[in-house]
Amino acid sequence: MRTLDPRVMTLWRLEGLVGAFTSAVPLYLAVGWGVSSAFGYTAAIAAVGATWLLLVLRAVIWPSFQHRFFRYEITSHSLVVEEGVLWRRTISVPRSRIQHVDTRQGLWERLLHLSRVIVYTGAGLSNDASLPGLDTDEAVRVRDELARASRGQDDGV
Amino acid sequence: MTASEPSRWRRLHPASFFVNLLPTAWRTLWNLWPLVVGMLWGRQQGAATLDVLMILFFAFTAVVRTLLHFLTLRYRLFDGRLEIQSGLFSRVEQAFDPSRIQNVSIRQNLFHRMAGLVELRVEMAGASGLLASDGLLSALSLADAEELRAGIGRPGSAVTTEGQALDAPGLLEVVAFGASSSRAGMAGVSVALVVEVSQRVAPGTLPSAPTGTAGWIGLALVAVAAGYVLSVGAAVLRWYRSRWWVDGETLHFESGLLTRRRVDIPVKKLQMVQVSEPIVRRAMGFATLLFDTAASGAPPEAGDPTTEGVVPMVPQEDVDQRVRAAFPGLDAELGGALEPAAPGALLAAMLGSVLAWAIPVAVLVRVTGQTGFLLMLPAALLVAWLDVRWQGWAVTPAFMVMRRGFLSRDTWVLPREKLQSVRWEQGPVERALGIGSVVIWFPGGRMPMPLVDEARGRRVFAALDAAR
Repeated sequence: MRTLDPRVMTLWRLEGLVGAFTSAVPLYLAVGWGVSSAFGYTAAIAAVGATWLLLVLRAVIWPSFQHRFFRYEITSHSLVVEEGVLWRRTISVPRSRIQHVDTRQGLWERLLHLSRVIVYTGAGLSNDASLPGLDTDEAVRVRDELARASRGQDDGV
Repeated sequence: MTASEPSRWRRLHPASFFVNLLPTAWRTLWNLWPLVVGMLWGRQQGAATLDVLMILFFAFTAVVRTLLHFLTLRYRLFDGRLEIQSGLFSRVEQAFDPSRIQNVSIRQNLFHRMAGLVELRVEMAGASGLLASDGLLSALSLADAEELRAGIGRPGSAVTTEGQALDAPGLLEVVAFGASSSRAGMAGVSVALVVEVSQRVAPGTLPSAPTGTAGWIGLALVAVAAGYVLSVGAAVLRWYRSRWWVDGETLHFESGLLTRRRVDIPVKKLQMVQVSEPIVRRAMGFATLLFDTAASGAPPEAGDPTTEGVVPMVPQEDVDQRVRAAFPGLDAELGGALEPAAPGALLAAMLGSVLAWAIPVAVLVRVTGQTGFLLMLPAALLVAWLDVRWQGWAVTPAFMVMRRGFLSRDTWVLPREKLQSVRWEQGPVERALGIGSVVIWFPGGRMPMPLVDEARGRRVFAALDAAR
């Protein structure tokens, strides 16, 4: 089975560090309010600081585990993905069931020349499988291979 | 008009403006409920003028939306597709391939019936939300609707009932259906809202909060009673005169007292059948059948946004026969023994129950001061044990059958040919216990198998993965 491009760990770290300073602000407010009402302002500041430190450490350390536990393989009849560190999943998507395949690039991904491949079937709930950190050229190749394999097949819908 | 012959653009019936005005006004009001609550909550002396202006504004937006909908919507059959255009500032153009249409539903509310019109909706596979995957023509004449249905390969009357019904619950059965599906949660919110509004409109009429254990028990009983009344009323409105029949290639469902609904589902588009047996309904000897297609944008008034056909009350002894009417090739016995969940599933379920209920119970005890709420924890453990005890599954050459739940027991029947993707999932606790779950994704939904031991689960995963 194949692994993701190692640059994806840099991507995840960047996203995690940015999140620790932006999207986690409501969490800091909730922690601060909760702790201050019971233990006072000094304790609240310490709690918020500890929360921030935990998020930063998570952003730096966790991507290594995510990368180690992510594997994928394109067989003759399906795309198989293994992912997850604590909650682990093995996903098999038959090539005949693939409705469409997208590639996406956010700002950080563009800087690192990475892309995400997203596979959709007729389940329609959300994407059935995604490959988050492929080199952009490889992502295009994988996308085209998966899209080509599903043409003219029974999609089971 | 056929899908292969180009046709001129057509508009909705002129009466659609009046037919749609009240439902549109209601939807506008419903979407602006925070504003309405704010009006009631922040009511002050002398603010009546502002309230009137706000209500007039809501009414004006509803009229404008309805008018724009009538003026801008066009539809036609062209190049083998049903095409629909709508919108003024944000233009939407939809094209529907008849071979991809999952089901066609017809709806007639009171205003439609008075004007001799119907609402026609074509539903496609996809989960982009209520409107993004549907083609909605809100007011067509009966003749136009039947011509359009014939044009997309779904001929037949738009409203005339046909075929010998397989099930047609009477009024008592519909009332029993409502009584066995209490909406206590919604009733509780309604009771709280009534109390709060009364405090502002007529202070002192009702107590602002229960006092003592008797007060809380009384409030709970009022909420449950109100829930049952609401459920029975909703059931009569929704399911009175409901019936369903099969004409060989299509399942047909009809229901509704004030708003009449009809759904036609080709058998080949049927994805999954769910047998729902809440404990009270089970004790009465009945079950509910829900028929799913890949269209996940069904109207929310269907009760379940992902269900297109519903048979509210089926005698339990007829369930197997009814499911076989929809799936003639069913090679599993629904009433037979199923594989049980793994022994470790009980511990996982109990841990999950404790974690799920610990915080709500702690909050209730802290807020009310009533330690009696702690009894909810052992009750949750008991329910978890009963739930795992009645779990079961079976994988046959052609079908998959899953069963879960005790208070509300559900059985899912899914043809293996509909499988879209399969997953093997394990959380940290499940991995430590050597168990996991096979999860099936099918068009319009997902179905998790009961927790099984890892070796067995991986074999099932491999068998489902390979057999396509």
